[in-house]
Formats: sequence, structure tokens, C-alpha cells
Amino acid sequence: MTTQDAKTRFVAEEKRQRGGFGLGFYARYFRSMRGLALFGPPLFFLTVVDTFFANGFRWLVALRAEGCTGQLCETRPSFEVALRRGIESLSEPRYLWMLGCWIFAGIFIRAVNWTGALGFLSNGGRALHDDMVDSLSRVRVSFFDENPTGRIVRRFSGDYSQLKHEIPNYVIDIITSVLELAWVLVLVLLQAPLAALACFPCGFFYFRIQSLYKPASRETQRLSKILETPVWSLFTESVAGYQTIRAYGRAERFTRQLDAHVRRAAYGALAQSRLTRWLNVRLKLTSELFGLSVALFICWSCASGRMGVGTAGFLMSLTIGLDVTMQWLTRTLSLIEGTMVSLERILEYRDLPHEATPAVAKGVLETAAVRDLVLENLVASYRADLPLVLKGASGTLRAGRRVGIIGKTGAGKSTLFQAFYRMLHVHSGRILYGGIDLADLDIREARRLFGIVPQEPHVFSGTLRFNLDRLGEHTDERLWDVLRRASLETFVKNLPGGLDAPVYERGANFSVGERQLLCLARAALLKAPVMLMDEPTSSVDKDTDILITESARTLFAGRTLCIIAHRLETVLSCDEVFLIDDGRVVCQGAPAEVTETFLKRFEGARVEDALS
Amino acid sequence: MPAIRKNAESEGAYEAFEEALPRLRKGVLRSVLRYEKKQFRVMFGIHMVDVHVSILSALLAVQILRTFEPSPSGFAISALLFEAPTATQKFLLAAALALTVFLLNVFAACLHAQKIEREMLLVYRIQTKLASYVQRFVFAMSRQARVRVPAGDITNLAQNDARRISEFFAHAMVDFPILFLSVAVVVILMRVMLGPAAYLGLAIVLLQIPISSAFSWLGGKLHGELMRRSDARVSLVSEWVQAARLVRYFGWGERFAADIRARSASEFRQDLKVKGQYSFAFSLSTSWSFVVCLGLFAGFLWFQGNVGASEIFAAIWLSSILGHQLNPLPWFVAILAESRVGARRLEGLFRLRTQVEEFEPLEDVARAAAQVPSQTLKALASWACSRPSSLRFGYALEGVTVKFEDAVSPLFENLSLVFPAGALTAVTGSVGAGKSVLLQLLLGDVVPTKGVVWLLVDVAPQHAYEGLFSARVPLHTPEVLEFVRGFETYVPQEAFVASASLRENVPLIYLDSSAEFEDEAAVVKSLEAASLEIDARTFPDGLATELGERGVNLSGGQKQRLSLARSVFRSQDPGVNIILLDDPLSAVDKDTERLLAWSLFDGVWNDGSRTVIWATHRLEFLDRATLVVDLDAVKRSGK
Repeated sequence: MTTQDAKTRFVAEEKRQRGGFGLGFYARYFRSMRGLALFGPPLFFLTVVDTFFANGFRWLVALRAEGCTGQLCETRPSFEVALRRGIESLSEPRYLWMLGCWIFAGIFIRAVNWTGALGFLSNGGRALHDDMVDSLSRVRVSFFDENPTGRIVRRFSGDYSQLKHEIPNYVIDIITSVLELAWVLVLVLLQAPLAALACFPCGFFYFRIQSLYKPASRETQRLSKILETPVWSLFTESVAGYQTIRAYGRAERFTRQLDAHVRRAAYGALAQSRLTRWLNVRLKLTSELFGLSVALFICWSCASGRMGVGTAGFLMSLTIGLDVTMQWLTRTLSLIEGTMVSLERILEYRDLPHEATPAVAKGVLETAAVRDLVLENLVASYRADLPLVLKGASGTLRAGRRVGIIGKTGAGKSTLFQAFYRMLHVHSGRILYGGIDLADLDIREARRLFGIVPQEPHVFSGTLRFNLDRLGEHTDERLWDVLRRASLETFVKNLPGGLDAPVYERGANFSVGERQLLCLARAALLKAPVMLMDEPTSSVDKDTDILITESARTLFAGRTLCIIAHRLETVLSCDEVFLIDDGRVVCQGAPAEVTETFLKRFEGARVEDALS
Repeated sequence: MPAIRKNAESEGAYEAFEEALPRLRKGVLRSVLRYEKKQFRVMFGIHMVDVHVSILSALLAVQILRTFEPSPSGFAISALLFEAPTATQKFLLAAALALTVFLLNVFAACLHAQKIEREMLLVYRIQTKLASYVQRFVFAMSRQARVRVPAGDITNLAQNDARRISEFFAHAMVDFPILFLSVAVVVILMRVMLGPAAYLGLAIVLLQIPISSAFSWLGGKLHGELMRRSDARVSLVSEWVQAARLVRYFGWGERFAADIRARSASEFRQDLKVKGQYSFAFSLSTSWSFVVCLGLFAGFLWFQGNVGASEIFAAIWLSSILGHQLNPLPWFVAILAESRVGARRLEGLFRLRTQVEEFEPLEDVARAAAQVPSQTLKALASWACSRPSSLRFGYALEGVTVKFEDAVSPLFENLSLVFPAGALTAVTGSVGAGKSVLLQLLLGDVVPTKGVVWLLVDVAPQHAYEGLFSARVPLHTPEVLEFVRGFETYVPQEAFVASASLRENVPLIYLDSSAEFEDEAAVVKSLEAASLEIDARTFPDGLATELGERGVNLSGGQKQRLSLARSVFRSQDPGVNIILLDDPLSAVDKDTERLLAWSLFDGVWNDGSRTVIWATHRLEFLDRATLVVDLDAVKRSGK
């Protein structure tokens, strides 16, 4: 992409978190989980059982401690009386065995429940991830220009990691805490109906605290994130630019600036901690008030003989961990909000617009047959709403010829390649191959007509073989044959592992020239009848440059070759040359003729300078 | 809000970087402990009280039950007060106890909240203080040391290792000792209240430590593998995204998507193992207090026969307190280990050499410095103060040898060169000839293994004081380097762009960091000189356009021109006459290069007092230079 392109088109804004998320979020979240109908109900049932376990244990203990003697017992509901009698009749060791089984069953159930639920939600996340991969592999190409690589990759790293680790944990925490609170309520209602009166004011109070805390916490979280970002970005910059910074005598300023950022970030961090303190004290107060009212009710019931000590102990122990559960719930509810934007972002990427391709391919193509490629008054832009980059380009690339393309930077030379690959939005006009309109073909089919050697020699990390033949379609003989013709045979033979030699990230273990030749070989392996090549400019020395052009000649013999030429020799070696200016083919003809027009058009420029 | 402000401004006992460095080198953890000693003392006090108040309230809760027990087996307050309490007396006593429990709990909660707030202050403060020490260290570091540490590692040290250290200090430093203390108290109480069964309970409590350690070891292993698989997936994704066009040109999209799916599936399988491990560990640790209870009940049966309801609930409560206390133990152990690793890594960084320390062993430079009379430096400083714009500078290399520690042979051997003041000297040479290193040498970032680099200072010819002052001082001493930095600008090969606005990037000064107002017109003029002004006009917010993290919104050529604009801007300051250019035109096209050469060498820097040293690999504009140094030829002849 040229710099010109970058200017006309500004990078799209990233989705940001605004305001709160309601129940709709949870609905959307669960709906997007795979297999909800199958796994949802049993997992929920397990959670209900699991949350009863701890209170159930205390209850069993209380029932045994109190037994079923006297009028106390008779006033209880009949199932409880039966339970009490049953437990009382057990011998000591048997009772302990029963408790032991209860405990270990509880541990087991909880472990299974959490594994199942976390696994289920995380699998749902994985399914979304894979959908996102599919969606992104079909999105129109200009999407990658509008969104920086870092942003796209973040969807797959940071956002996805939140989706599969944090959100499931939070969701299960929330469900578990709510159910635990519900059980406490049920048990208290069952044992001490009057104490339930205290539930309402305490519940109300809790709800109020919660609804005050959540937005405040959301804002402080956001604030502290906003305030913290400059700290780390300045830090990273200082590390990267230390040499420039100190050569300009600005080290002192940068340290002062970091201190200033840090001081500001402190407000965010401390506001958060102050808020947590506010919340903790109030939640504790609420749960203790509830505990106090239960305790007073117990005192009254016990003193008047309506309740046994066992039940009393049980009830008191119910209220003990209440504030921890409440704290946990509140904290998780506010934490999950911070992660929801990840889900939104991933859902957004799952539903990206796809590349235009006809529902039914109209044309049938004789692949491998070399035919004329005709441009008919092509008008196109990178996206429907962006300025035109091709403004009525017409011309014919004759089958099997060597066609050069020249023009100034930004004239639309490489845009033409994009048009062949159907990566542009076509407003009018068409491209015909052997008389068939490319737009009528299946997009993958149409792309198979072309092979390309881009200006930047991009190689993938992995192995050499992997770079040449990612799909594993070719035999070793064929690979070696192409490597030989690309003058790479001896070089590859000397590599450790030959064809399976490792390639580091961005091909760091190869020189630019070697990478260029690799890209040539890669393109030559395709059976495409039309080869597109963007000649390298300044990145390689003259010898390599000549080697590349020579190799291209032998490798692409018999096919149509279309070269964006930067050197005069290349231009002169072509059968025919197109001069492109301002999105149009202004001149087509023999090299000498076109070069002359070019010079006239851009008076005073030396050909080679103007081309590069 | 005022409270927050007060907290934010409380600083701890942190020292200035120069004093802190020797201490940090010896031990990061010990240094932090020293700086935050006061805070720890307060937290220790608070936590001590709050834990024991909680224990006390649990004991009183047991007393409520005992009040109603027909024949309590142990100590009972009711038995102390009344011989045969009536129902009303029982009620009143129990109600009073309940109220006391309530008040104690609220008191403990308030204290605890205080402590939590302090913890969060520490988490934030220790990390940022360490990060700011690291930043200062990076500015002081010698280049030789710095190039060996990848930038990512340094950021990682400040972000993650410092974070772990601060978490250890905030959450574990105080809780750790109190944990042992409170466990001891609870165990004693259990022994007193529950009899010998307490030992069985204690044994089961202690059993939790090896179990949870085993789980966290397993978890660490599983998690490491998960991270590995996750990295493998993300790196494939990022390669796929980077080459999005290419992948489509070649029709490899489906294969890439399939490979990514395979990796995400493999990651998920590992993730399931991690989640299973986590769930079992979690379930065990949350339910362990019930296992302890079971042990206590078995103990009662074994030792005492039947016990009352109040003992049973005392057992439940005390064991849950114990469990609660012990739950974070594995985390404490892990964070202690992690923060020690982090501290060692930070110490490793701090022990690297600083630039000034790199000068110390240079014998030739020391000898040369000894020859320079002390008045020269003083005179230099006073000239620089009173008449900065009258000075101009040159360099002379005298028998300089540069050999890097890990290199087999020296890069330069016995090299003697002069860069005359007020001249444009071009440095050419093949790749690897050492053009960059030569500039680094003049910047002071590379030191001569042998020989001396002299800084030549005299008065510019068109100035009234011409001929009145000249000096020759060795460059590689702390004082001279400090001095010369006030007069030089440097354009590196890879442009540095701060993630600020264009307006801030040119002067390299953040708008909010100082009250000084930088002249907008001067910024525009510098942009013009560097041919960036036309580009800047198309930016959405003009000069105020944010350039994004490290200039993501700029093309390579634009970054280079920004870097040049910065140099032009800086060179407008009085006396800034040294301009070091490390092949800055490599990323711009030829037209722009011509334009730049014209506007810089023939324009703003063409006033006779500038010393421009320009390393370049292109030979097109060498006619602009007063002097051309071909490094290959110079190295061959030694001159």
C-alpha cells in the first residue's frame, strides 16, 4: 500500500465501552454458547445442589445435636421430624460415616460442577473464536487496512482470553453466590420465619449499596485505566527511545513526566481502593445487622423454649459467611462489566460483512489456459464510500506477453493488481479473462488465475516447505525444480534441513534478496496463467535485482507476465508497456514509445527517478 | 476526595535514584522493605487487632449458645453470673452478647477495610516507584548493556515483576507472620475448649498445606503448557492477519483457518485440564474446614464421648476461622517465590553498567583528561552559560580502537579522524563498516577501547569573539558528555516517535509537563524544513493530531521526516550546532530526499557554524558535503 492510500483513508475507530450493560448482555452471552439446551439444565441443577452442600452439612450437624426430644420437635414440619428421628437413630460411627460421605460427595460434586460449567462456557468461547476466524477469512480485504494489525490480533489474544477465562469464572461466581444467598434465605425462612422480617430491610439496603457501588466502580475502573495507560506508554517509549531522549537532553523531562503520570494515576488507584473500603464496611454492616436480628430472634426463641441450641447454632452459622458472599457477588458483578466489552468486540468480528461473490458462479473457466485479460472501463475504489482509485481503466494484456506498467507513485499501478484479485469495490466496468467476466466467477476460482510477487518479500515463520507449498500440493521434485530455476537450489541445499529448514519470524534468517527469490519460487509453483510482479526498488542491490529479473523470466515462461517496472532496463525488456496516470491507462504500446510519452508528460523527470 | 489526594501525595521513604541505585543493586526486596517500613508497621498493628477481634467475637458467639445449654461442659459466662438463670436473665445476657458480637464485628470490619485500602496503596505505589527507578536506570544505562536487553524484557520487568513484588509486599508481607500467630492462638483456644480432639483437627489443617502445594505445582505446570499453546495460536493468528492479502492471493485462507482452529482446539483441551485441576483444588480448599470438623467430631467420639451443641458449633466456627486463615497460604508461598524471582531479575538489570561507569576503566581517556587543566572545563562552562551561540564544535579521533566484548576482532583499529567544526562531513561505507558505531562513538554511547575522542570547541568565525577561546577535551567523561548534550541533536536510523501529538513530538516536550510555551511558528517552520508540513496539513487535527503508539499512524518516511524536524527544531536553540544524522533518508523516496537535502543542507543548516556529521549509504547527494569520509578506505589505511 502506498502512502497516498493511507492518507485518503483513515483508520476506523475502535469500539469502546460506554455505560452499563444490562440483563441483555447475559442473554446474549448464553445464547452464543454452543450446546446450551443440552448442558445448561444439568449444570444448573448441579450448581443448586452444590450450593446447598455447606449449609446442608451444618444442618445435619444441628439436627443431630438437638435430636428430637420434647415438644420442640413436634412443632416442626413432618419431613424434618422424620429426618431428625432418622439421624438420631444412627450410631455414632455411622453418623460420622454419613457426614464423611456428605463432605466428600460435596467436594466431588463441586469439582465436577465447576469443571463442567467452566469447560462448557470456555468451549462456547472457543466456538466464537473459530467463528471469528471464519468471518475474518471472508471479510473484504480493505478491512485489514482500516484496522491496525495490533487491534485485530488483540481480539484473538486479550479479548479471547477474557472470554474463555475471566467471563466464565465471573458468570459462575455470580450464579453460585446468588444461589448461596437464596439458600440462606430459604433455610432462615424455614427455621425462623420471624427473622425473615429482617431480610427485607437488609435486602433493600444491600440492593441500594450495590446499585450505588456499581456505576461508581465502573467509572473509577475506567478512570484508573485511562490514567494508567499513559504511564506504561511513556515507560515503553522511554525504553525504546532512550538514546534519542538523552541525546536531546530530555531524560530529566521524561522522568518528570512519568512521575506526573504516576501521580495522576494514583488518583485512579486510590479512588478505587477508597471505594472498595466504602463497600466493604457497608456490606459488613448489612450482613452483621441481619446476623444481629437473627441472633436476637434466636435468643428470644431459645429463652422461651421454642428453639433448641442446635438449631440456634445452625442459624447463627448461616449468617457468618454472608458478608463474604455478598462482597464476592458485588465485586464480581462490577468486574464482569469490565470484561463484557470483550464479548461485544468478538461478536462484532463474528458478524463482519463478507466479500462479494456471486451466489451461483455463472461462468466456467478453463484453468491453466493462457488467454487475453481485458480491462473494460474499470471504475473502482477501496470501499464504496471512498474516493475512486481507478477512474475508467481500459486495456488488454495479451496472452503470454510480457507487459510492463509504469506510472508515478500513487497513479494506481498496484491498485490494478488489487482489481484483478477482486479486492476493490467496482463501481462500473469489468475485467474479462478469455471473454468471461471475473465478477461472475466464484471468488476463489477467479483468484486462481493469478500469481503474484509482491514488492515486499513477505515470508511466514515455520519451514521453507511451508512457505513454498502451504497446502502440501507439490512433490519434492517439483519444489526442487522450481528452486533450481529460481537460482536457490545450492542455497537451500546448504541450509540445515534443506526444504524443512526453519524460517524465523518475518524471515529474519534470510537476506532480502533471498526472500525475494523465495517469493518468486512460491508464485511460480502456482499453476496460474497470469503472473503479477511488483519489481523491488531500493531494498536490494543491483546484482540481486538482475538475478531476480532473470529468474522471473525463466520461471514464468509461457505465461502472461505483468510487471510494475521501476528500472529502465525492465521497461525496455517488455513486449508492451502501459502508462498509468490518475487511475487511467493513458497510453499503451511499445516500450520506447510509451517511455517517450511518459517523459513528455512529466517534464524534467529522469525516468528512473520518476518510476521509483 | 481530599483524603485520596493526601494518600496520593504520601510518598513513603523513597530515595532519589542516585542514592537508591547501590541499594537496589544489593537487594530490591530489602530496599522496598526499608522504604515502606512505616506503612508495614501500621498495617501490622491494624491487622493484628482485627484478626484477634474476629476470634474474640467467635468465642462470644459460642457463649450465646452456652447460655441456653442445660448443662454446659466448659466455661460459660452465664454460669459465672447466675446460679440458676431465669428465662429473662438468659435472654438479656444472650442479647447483650449478640450486640457485643455485632459491635466487635463491625469494629473489625472497619479496621480490615483500613488495611485493605493501605494494601491497594502499596500495590500501586511500590510498582510505580520501581518502574520509575527502572526508567531512570534506562536513561543512565550504557548502550552496550542496553542493547543486550530486549525492550520487551525491560517493560516486562517494570510491569510484571515489579507488580508481583508489590503484590507480595501489599498482601503477604503483613499477613504472613500474622497468619502463624493467629493459627497458634486458634489452636490453643481449640485445645482449651475442645480438648485433645483439637490435635486431630490441627493435624488435618496442616494436611492442607502439602495438598494445596501439590495442586499449585500441578497447576503451574499445566498453565505453562496452556500459555505455550496459547502463544502458538496467537502467533499464527498474527501472521495470518499481517499477511491477510498474501494469504488470499495464494488461496491459503482455508488452510490457515483450519490450522488456527486446530490450535484453538488443542489449547482448549489443555484449558480443560487446567480448569479441572483448578476446580478440584478450589473445591478441596473451600470444603477443607468441613473435613477438619469431621476430624474434630471423630476426636470427640474417641476422646470424650458425647459433647454439647455449643462445642460442636465452636468446632465448626473455629475450624472455619482456621481454614479461612490458611486458605491463602499456598498463594503466599507462590507469591513469595515469584517476587523473589522478580527481584533477582530486577537486580540483574540494575547491576548492568551505566554509561558513566563505562567510562571509568578507560585508561587513555583518563590520562587525556588528566592533561586538561581544570580551568579549561570551568571556562568552557562559563562560555556556554554566557555566550552559548558563539561556540562551535568538532571532533578528533586519536588512535581509536573499538572492540566489542563479544566480537572476535575490533571494529575500528587505531583510527584517527578529524571532523572539523562548521563542516558537513558525510560518512560512507559498505554495510557493516561501522557508520552507525562511529556516530554512537561521537554521541558517547560507544566508548573507545583504546585511544581518545576529543571534543574541539572554538568560537564561530563570524562571531565578535573569534579566536578568543578554544579548547580540546576528551569526550568520554561524565562532565564533558553532560556539557555536550546541551549542544547536539541526533537523528537515529530508526525514528523515535513518542505517542503524543505532532506538536509535542517536534520539541520532544509534553505540553502538560512544563509551563514553557513552545512557539507554534517554530514548530511549523521545522516541519517545513523537513518536508513534513504538507503531510501535516492533511492530518485530521493538524499539529494536535495524536500520532498513536510509537507513531502507528505515520508511514516510515513520515517518521523519519518527523525525526529530522525534531532535529531542525532543536538546532534553533542557541548553540545547538552539532547535528548527527544516522542515515535518516533511507526510508524516503528520491524526490523527497532531494527536497530534504536542499532544504536542510543548503537551507537551515547552511550558516557556517553547524557541524553536521551525516552517515549515508546513498551516494547521490555527496556533493553537498564539505568532506567525505569513506570508512572502508579509512579503515584500510588507518587514517
